[in-house]
Amino acid sequence: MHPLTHIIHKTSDIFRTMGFSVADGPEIETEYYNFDSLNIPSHHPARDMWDTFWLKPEKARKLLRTHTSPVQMRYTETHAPPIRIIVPGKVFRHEATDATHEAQFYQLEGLMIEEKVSLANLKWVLEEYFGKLFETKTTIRFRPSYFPFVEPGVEIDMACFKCAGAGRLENKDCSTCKTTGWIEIMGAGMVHPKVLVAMGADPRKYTGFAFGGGIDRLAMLKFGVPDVRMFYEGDIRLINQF
Amino acid sequence: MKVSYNWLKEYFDEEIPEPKKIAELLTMHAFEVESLDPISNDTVIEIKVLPDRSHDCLSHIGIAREIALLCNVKLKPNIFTKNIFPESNLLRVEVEDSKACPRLSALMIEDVDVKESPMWLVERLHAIGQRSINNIVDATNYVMFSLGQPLHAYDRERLKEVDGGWKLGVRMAQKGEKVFALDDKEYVLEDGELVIVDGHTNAPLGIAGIKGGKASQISKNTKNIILEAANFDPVLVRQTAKRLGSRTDASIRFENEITPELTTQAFHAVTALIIDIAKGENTRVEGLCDVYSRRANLYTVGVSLSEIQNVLGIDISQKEVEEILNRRGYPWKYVNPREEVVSLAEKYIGVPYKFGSSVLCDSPQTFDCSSFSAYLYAQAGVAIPRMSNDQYLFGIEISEEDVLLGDEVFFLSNRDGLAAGAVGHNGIYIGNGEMIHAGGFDKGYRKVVKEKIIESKYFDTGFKGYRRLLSDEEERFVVTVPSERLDLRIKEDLIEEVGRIHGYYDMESKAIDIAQVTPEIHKKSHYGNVVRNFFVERGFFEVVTYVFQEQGSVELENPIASDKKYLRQNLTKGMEDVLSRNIKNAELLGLEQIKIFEIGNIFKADSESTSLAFALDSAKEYKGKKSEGEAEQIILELAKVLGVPVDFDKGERVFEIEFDLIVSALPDPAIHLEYKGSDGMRFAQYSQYPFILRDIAVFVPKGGNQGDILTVVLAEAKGLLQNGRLLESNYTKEFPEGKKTSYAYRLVFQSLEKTLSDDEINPIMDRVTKILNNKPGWQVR
Repeated sequence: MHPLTHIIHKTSDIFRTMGFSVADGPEIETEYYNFDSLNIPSHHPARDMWDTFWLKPEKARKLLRTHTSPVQMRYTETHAPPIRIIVPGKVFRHEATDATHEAQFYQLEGLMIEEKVSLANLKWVLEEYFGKLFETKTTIRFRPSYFPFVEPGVEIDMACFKCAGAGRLENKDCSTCKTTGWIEIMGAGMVHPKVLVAMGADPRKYTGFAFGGGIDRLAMLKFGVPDVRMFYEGDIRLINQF
Repeated sequence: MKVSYNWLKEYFDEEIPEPKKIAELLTMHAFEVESLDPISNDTVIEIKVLPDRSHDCLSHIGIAREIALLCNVKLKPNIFTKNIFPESNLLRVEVEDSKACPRLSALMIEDVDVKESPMWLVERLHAIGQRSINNIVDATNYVMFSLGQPLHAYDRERLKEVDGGWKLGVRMAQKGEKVFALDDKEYVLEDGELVIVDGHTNAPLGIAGIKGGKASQISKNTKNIILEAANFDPVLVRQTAKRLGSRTDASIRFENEITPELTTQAFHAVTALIIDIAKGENTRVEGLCDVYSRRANLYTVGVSLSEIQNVLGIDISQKEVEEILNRRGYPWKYVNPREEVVSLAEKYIGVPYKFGSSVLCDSPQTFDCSSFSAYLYAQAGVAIPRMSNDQYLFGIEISEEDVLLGDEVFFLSNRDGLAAGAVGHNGIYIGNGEMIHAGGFDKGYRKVVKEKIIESKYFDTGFKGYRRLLSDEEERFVVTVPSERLDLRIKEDLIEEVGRIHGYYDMESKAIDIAQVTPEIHKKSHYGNVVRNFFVERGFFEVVTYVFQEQGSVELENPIASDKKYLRQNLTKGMEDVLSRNIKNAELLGLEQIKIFEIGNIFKADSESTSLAFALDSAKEYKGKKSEGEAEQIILELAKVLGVPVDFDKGERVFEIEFDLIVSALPDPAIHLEYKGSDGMRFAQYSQYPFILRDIAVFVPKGGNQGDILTVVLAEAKGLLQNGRLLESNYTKEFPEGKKTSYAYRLVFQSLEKTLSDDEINPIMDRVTKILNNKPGWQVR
């Protein structure tokens, strides 16, 4: 099986035990679902955070989704809270490719909207997830960050599973976390009230968290694959190891 | 943004922590610090300021404020001198559209001495990657990087003087208007883009918010200068800068939106600096001309302790929140929202009514009915909609028996243009059947008045009822947000401010209830996994290929490469390529046949769908191995396993199936298909170097065990040998000692470190030959 399939299937099962369903959506998206509905208006500098592939004709304002977040919006069109979903799917960024960047990759999006959901709940859910995915008890930490569709917004670091957060391995520097002891793994936060409204959820009643991170990166870390591009070369020398 | 540590120190009398400590604190409480670069007697801190804080923190003062907050050190008092500039007698400014340019400030300074900047200034600018030009230009740049307000200096004598006066203007450009800019490039403008003009000639002096013009630049002969500091519409600046391909330090600040309050603050800073470093014999600030049409009130944002606790999920105490707010230093109060609304309503009795009063700009000087209630609630830390009808819909209906002080009273509209039945008036209930509302009559004038609800003239046109706009009765922290914090607008922003200052890193995780929810089974993913298992069980490898291709029916506006202009319209093309590449490695892989499959989306002119493709083929050496009808057989089996018919496009080597069609024909899955992968999988790097093949054949007595041969060979050749396999075994020959059978093997050699040559392989083959020949009765051909 393809290593990304391993991560996606295992991820789906781990989240399933916590009550999360899988959802999906199209890879070609409209500007509304990919940006506007997620509180990323046109001409806002936040748009620069996503290098976007636009489709011809430009005036149709269609694009290749830059994240799986539009599925949050599509899913809530037919589902009312309480909501627990994850969205693993292919996304696209107009970026120069190198060992850690690809123009196409997979993202894992998560969304939970219920009465009284908190950031501390998100921490628990992700600790459960990473612990089971990496098969070892995992500590994570939040740092302040910004994504237009959440408030507060956080960056999530995972304690390096290779060096257990020490930054060093016996007598050499840990290369997995580049000696910091932490691995930047996801962006997340509490769903912005404007986004809740766009989803048809009353922000006075519901709160929710959302998170998103690269599945390729999780696969690289878990399996020790050194270059993201290897996932898309179709080389059996990689795939026959999984 | 690059920040100089020495520069930051300017803002403090006290010592501040070392750069490393500051970097740690900023990273955990504010922004990511990307690097610390020590340079000669300074340290440059590279900070990733994201759009939410680009309003106030693309500046040294913004970062200094965060340091003051996080390190608990005090900023120097009087960083912003409050001197009042005299009104200019010689300078006028004119703004065509106050939405495009909310503020235009200009300051004239006479008799400056233009020369090189002092060393400290050159070094500061150099540290953050800026070039020194001359003392005047450097002073404006220094202030921009200090405070975040872009400034521009004009040589007064390059502007037209009329009746002993000068004039600056901001207007929309006309299509084709040209500006020859400081970077020696000519920019051609479009309709509606903003230009700074010489108000007397109407000729452009610069592209507003982006670049100054060459003609009016400061030269060494400049004596008198006009400084301009303005506030421009972020979207206009961003669009123009983008279109012109000219994003500058100024345009980046404008497009992120900065407060119009900054212009005169920047003038104070730059004037002090110019007087310090560019003083001529009779240097004087002639005066200021300032157009600032709609000055806004400071925002108030409120939040309750339980809202903070619930969103963050932490047990932060009232005292801790208070301590954080005090440390933050913005004015705040702790109020009972109901009492606050009522007491403020009483306070504003008599304030004139003006229809369309803005909450932000006109309160509390004038009100209309709904701006009155919106303002009162905002002051009490509760955000409610602006319009009466929206407030009505936002509120929760309550009966006359339940109405409490501070709830709202609503009336039907009697105004033209509103939908029938729409609410058009409202007031604040204050008990005893009385309300305070904006729009009642007092001696013939409309004002904020207190009156009996039933005596109000609105009662006759249509009493609509009472509504409660508070969602709870809890006290609220109400913070007055300083003008530069354009990111603090709603309670969630305030929760984040408290949360990040408190720190997220030691947050205790809280379990969610996992018992009560039954997840759905995602049909397409489910059958995707069923199909994957089907193919894997039959020796296929799953591949994921690229969606970008040279041909297709959906074209990209901005492809990454000319051979990746389209989205794939089938999986076949990508599979063909992958198949061919893998076939070259067939020997290395020890595979007689390459078998791959993919499930992925394809794109037709008007549709996107999921496709399934599988491919199988052999290298030429394996001629005859690919049996006719093998693919058809697989399709038949797949249809049998799934229980639905499967149609496919028969290709040469690749067979493509409309996966969506299959899924739609299948029933909703009843049982979740569990992941069965093995734990502990790790990738071992394969070699990037070519492999070498060697065949060897050996005669062994007929009936001998061929497995023994391979064991011997593998043992002797291990190291560089990747694999070995039996090629043929059907050749028998008569020897003097009896019949012998020939077994031929193919050996694949490859190194992880280099390209192998015969020099490395020959000795191995010699050893293998020797050891085989030494076995009794064995003979290498």
